[in-house]
Amino acid sequence: MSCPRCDANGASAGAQDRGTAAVVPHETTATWCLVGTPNVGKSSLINAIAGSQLQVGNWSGTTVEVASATTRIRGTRVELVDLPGAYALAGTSSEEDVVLPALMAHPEALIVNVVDATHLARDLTLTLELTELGRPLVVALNLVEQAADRGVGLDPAALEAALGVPVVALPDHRRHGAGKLVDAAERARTTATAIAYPEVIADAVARLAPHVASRWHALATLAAEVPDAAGAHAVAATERATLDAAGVDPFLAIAEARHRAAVALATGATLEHERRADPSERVDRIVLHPVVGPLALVAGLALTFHLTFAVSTPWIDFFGLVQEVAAGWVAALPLPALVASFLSGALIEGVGTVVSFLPVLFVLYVLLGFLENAGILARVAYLADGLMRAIGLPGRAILPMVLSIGCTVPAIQATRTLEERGDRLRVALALPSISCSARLPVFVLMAAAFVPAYAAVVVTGLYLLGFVVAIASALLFRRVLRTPESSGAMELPSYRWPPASLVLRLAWARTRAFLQSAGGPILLVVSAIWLLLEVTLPSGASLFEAVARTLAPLFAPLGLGDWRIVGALIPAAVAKEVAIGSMALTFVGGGDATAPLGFLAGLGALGVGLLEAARDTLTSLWGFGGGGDEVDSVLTARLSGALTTAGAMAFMVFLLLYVPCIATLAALRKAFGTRWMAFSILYQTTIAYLLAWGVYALWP
Amino acid sequence: MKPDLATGDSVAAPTTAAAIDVAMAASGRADSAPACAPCCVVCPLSDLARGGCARVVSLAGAPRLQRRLMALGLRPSAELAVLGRAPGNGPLELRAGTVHLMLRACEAQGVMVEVDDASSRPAPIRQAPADDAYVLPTV
Repeated sequence: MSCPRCDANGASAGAQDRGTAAVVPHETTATWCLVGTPNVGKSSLINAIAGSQLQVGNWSGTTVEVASATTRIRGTRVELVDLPGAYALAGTSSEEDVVLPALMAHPEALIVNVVDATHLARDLTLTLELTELGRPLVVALNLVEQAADRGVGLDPAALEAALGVPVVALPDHRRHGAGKLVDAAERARTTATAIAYPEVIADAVARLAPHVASRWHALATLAAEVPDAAGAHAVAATERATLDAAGVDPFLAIAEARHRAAVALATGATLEHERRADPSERVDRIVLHPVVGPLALVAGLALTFHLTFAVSTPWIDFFGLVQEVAAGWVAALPLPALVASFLSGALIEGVGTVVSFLPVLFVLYVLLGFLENAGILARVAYLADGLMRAIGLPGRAILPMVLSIGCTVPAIQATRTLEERGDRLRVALALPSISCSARLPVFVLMAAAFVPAYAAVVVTGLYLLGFVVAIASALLFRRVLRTPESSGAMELPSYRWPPASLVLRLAWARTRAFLQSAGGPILLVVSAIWLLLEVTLPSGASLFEAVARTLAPLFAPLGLGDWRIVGALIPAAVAKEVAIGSMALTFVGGGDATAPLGFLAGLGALGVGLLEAARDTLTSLWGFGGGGDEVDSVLTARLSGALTTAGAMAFMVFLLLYVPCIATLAALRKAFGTRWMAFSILYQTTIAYLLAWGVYALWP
Repeated sequence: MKPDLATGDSVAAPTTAAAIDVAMAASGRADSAPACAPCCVVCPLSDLARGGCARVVSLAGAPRLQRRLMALGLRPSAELAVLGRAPGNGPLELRAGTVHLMLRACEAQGVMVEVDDASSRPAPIRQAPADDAYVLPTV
């Protein structure tokens, strides 16, 4: 998926002349790129201006998420692009690396620089860098009230006069701020900055500037922050050598000059400064306390886990009921058997599988959006960093690891909170080994059938094995991939209560983006499995049986020679608990367990289901419903005949580790591309085969 | 105030040393933080104890990390305070200027700081700045 903004009208005409854009009768288009430091409130601003249109997508060719929205402002169709937060134009993380190329890819775009009033001097350093790009610029001062609370009063007019570009203060009531920003956008202009660089640097820039895109590029080339532009290499090398001979370090000298200019600007725009400490720091004395902190971390992670799965479970059950009722209605329709079977077995089943991820992902995204924007995730990173570094991962990776005990799909989505692509990939490739709740019913059934006395020990052992394999994988991929690791140098932003509308809209946009990309593959696999079960060969056996019998010899070394056992692994690729249903069908035999509901009875059941889901959502906030799994005694008896205990152990290990379920694969494909998805299939299956073989061979 | 890196160049009008001092006070530390006195001992930031306060002398490490540290306010001559250390050899919690940040101990090893008070430096100096370190020129 590419950025929605990149696909259409890259060079929109008429956007250049912003002064007249408002009075042109026919529709013109414009692009506003929001640039600012992390946690500055860019997404709040985009939400205030055009929140209902919010979309998220990966920036083309990267795994970096970019939010965008299109809205009509005074007759102009404006595309707002929320670029990742960055402290400087020359990136220091894979997120920041997107900002400069994105700005250069849209030369016509207006740059809206959102500046944090509580860190004015620091953020103005980025503003000064932006002015050096020679592009129309507007500065939006955010968090002015917070700055006032901390004893810093600001004078936007003074800043505007000193900086030479429009400066607007966004009040906390952001609707008004948006209007002021639109006014300012019409006055947007470029400015010649008066940063006093040392003379040698200024001379070098003057000589280098004609060969590169902008004054900023000339400075960055001197400081070796960007690769030399084509054709500018010789000049750049000469200039760098000259500076070296003069004993000037361009990187440090440029940074120092910009910093001094930014401090001067901040001073000029500051009316009063009886600085009071940030109340967040007082909270952090408790939250980040060496003893209280880890306890708070465990409690917080447990709460996040509980909310993600407890709040969503009643809705997953409800969608399951909808699926059942719809299948019942289809069965009642006067349709040819094959069509009815396709509708209920492939289409409704497939759509149901896709939709069943909607509640859990939406709840997860709401929680992630809150934790991220409230400044809590940074504290999680701080507290967990020591522990996670021991297994070669950054502190933030603890959240996906914990979530994957519930479900791997939201856990992979949660890896987007990691800063570096390399870290995301390593964590995402390790996560499928951790046992999710779908694997638990299979373990419970098999353990109860084969080792009833030690069932709890075996299930716990499988969970531990999953974690060990995941950690070993993370360490292995760290060695093999050698991707840059994310830096531990991170801001601990002030605690803030993010606007509910922003959190909900972002969550919905992210859920939608997942369903759009994962829906197709899931439907495809469900249909393929339906086809396997439906097609009958001339010999009388189903295609499914034929495929399972062909594969069975491969699994004989694991003690899994029975085709019905091997067969159960095929539909389990949709969701691993399906293995039970498949074995029940092949060992015990079919027979519709529940008669389809009629139309009215179905409607009634849906109404009751909806009420129950709403009630369970509320009760789940303080406790799990705790639905026990009933064990099918006929199935367990027949399973004992088909498998040895060692074979059952091998089966559980194989099921734990083999091909991640289709939704996990879809999530991997969306985040990292088809090649990494294919790699994950191969990797997991190889590990599963080897370990299952080891368990079978070594089982006493 | 440390000497200007702009090699004594005349700087834009408001950027006098006095103005910067005011600005540093304005955009800098909270009033409750003790001002760091001029110092004498240079050591890695990772050796600083909780509650210690120091002035950055030089940065080391990959250019990408150095840029990030500079952006987060850990620039040569900046004052910083160690607010805490996470358990289990975890990162340091720092305040540099207005910025509240965390930094891994291994990354803090490359940041050389000068401290005024030897008591906030429990361990002896462990390593000299790397060759590619940016050292603040002294005039």
